[in-house]
Amino acid sequence: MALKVAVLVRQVPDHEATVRVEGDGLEIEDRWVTSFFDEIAVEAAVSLVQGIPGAQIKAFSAGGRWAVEALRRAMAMGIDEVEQVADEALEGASGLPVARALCAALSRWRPDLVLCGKQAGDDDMGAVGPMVSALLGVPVVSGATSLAVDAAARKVRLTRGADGERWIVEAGLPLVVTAEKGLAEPRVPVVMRVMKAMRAPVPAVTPAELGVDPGPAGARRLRYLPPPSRPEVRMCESVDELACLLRQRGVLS
Amino acid sequence: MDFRFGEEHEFFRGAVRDAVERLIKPRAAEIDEKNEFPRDLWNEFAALGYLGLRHPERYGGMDADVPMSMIFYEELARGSCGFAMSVTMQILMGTYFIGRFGTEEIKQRVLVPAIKGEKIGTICFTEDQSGSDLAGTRTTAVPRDGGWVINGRKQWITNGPVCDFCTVLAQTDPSKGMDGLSFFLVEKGMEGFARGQELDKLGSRGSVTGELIFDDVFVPAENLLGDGPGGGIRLSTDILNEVRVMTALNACAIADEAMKDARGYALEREAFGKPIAGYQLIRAKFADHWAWHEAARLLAYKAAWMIQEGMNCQFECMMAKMFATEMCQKAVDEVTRIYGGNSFAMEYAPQRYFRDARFLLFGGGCHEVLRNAIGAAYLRAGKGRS
Repeated sequence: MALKVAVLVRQVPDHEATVRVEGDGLEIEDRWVTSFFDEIAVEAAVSLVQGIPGAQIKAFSAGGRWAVEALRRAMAMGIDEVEQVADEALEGASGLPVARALCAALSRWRPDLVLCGKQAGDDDMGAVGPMVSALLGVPVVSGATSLAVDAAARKVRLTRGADGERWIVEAGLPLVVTAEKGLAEPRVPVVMRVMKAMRAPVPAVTPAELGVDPGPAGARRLRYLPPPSRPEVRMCESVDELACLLRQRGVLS
Repeated sequence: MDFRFGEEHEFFRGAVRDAVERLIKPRAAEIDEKNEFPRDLWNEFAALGYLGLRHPERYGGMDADVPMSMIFYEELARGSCGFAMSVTMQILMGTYFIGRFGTEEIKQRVLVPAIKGEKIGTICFTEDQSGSDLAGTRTTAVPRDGGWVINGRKQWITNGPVCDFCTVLAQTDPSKGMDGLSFFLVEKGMEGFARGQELDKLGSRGSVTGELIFDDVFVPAENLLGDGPGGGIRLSTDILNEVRVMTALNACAIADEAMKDARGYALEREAFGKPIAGYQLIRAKFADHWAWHEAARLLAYKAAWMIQEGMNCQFECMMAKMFATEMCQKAVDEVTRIYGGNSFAMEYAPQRYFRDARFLLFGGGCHEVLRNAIGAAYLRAGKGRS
């Protein structure tokens, strides 16, 4: 049976976008990119299937307009088949509802291998990959830095780093793998793929059509606090003045 | 009325910006410093396929519409002005007449490898006594043995020192003046075709620029790129319109990048106990820039839309180029003031923006000539055209 590889992608604010705390929420400049670690997962998947005859690859994203953008990016990078789990409420939602929605779509396609970034580029939660693994009932290897698949033997060999150590892990399929920096170097898409991606229809299915209720998150952010502002800088005219000041503050005795 | 770009255009912009951020921007300072043609970057960028932007798909091109190609030119200039000039020369002027008038054999021999980046092209207008005044062209092409013999020297040729082929403007009938000018394809290896002195430029460095020499260069009849001898300038109106709008958007991009850097600097740099962004005179610079930049960009994209719609827009294109490049001068000047003394240090970017911005003033017609033409048209017919 041909190997089926699924890749999970999402858009996050561009790292250069301005982010400000406004009330209890965030005001984020309207500049979005595909999450860095998800792009690594896409690249790893595209490279992987090139070496395995008959292998299939499909990208999934849950959300509204930004999910479509993430899927177009995956197409530009080399994935032809994509599917949006269309639900505007999932845009910016926390891990569990997103994982439930994605899991429903994955269960229908029945991939052997699911690849995604080890964490999103905005909230760094690192939740969706392991949650999808749990909901699918398959093992997860997180933070993979290399990946080799023996499709005939249905075995995967991976490496991952752990606090200075380097693990070599062997696992069977099906499997969820989250991608760490080093697993692959995301390509700059060639323009013909960009043109194809921007014109291609993006098939969508709703959670209801998949028979799933993404449900509540179960955890929510209470509020955001801006980082503390930098303390005042005071220039001292002399070493004596500096020493005097440090004594006043109790730094020097 | 709807001033938004479509989703397709926005997606395309994102893809170009990503390529520029990852491939070109990290090399910008090095390209400027070395002032050498970055062949490795050229090959890497060419492999992405953008060099065929305006050419038909059957030759490996993209057949992109005018607004989409303008998006490309705008994003490209965010990286390195010098590299952008080399790339846009290849896409627009360097291959335009070959794509439009070349025989199928010429297209296969020259255009197809040019779209792949394997051959580098350019166009030769400027001479020691002519640039904006093309009627002063002294390079000649004389019919001989079923072909043409070209004699002359061309200056300020972008990509000249590395070019494999060029489109040369030459006088075929001096009695007709401007109407006697024609374009010819000249290729590397033709006897009498040589590269002359390379220029050491103030800005737009890395787009190597120099002299090309034509000493009794014989070209076959099919290398005349046009409907026949003469009328070359008439044939270049469309492409000059595109070049002017492209230059306008290059300027918008450089101004925007410079101001973005200045914004970061103003928010960080402290004076008298607070970031300089907190002072009204600094804020005024950003306010003015925002307004000028918005106006320049709207004018440029309106002109791009008019080209796409096939409307008569020669003067709108001139105005877009003139206004946007002047806006860019103001922007980079203000950026140097925001950076203060640091703008004078080579380790900071404003000095590069400042030098690059100057380059954009001249290509596509110097402003003294453009103003003369626009003013004359206004006096002749009044505005009322749009």
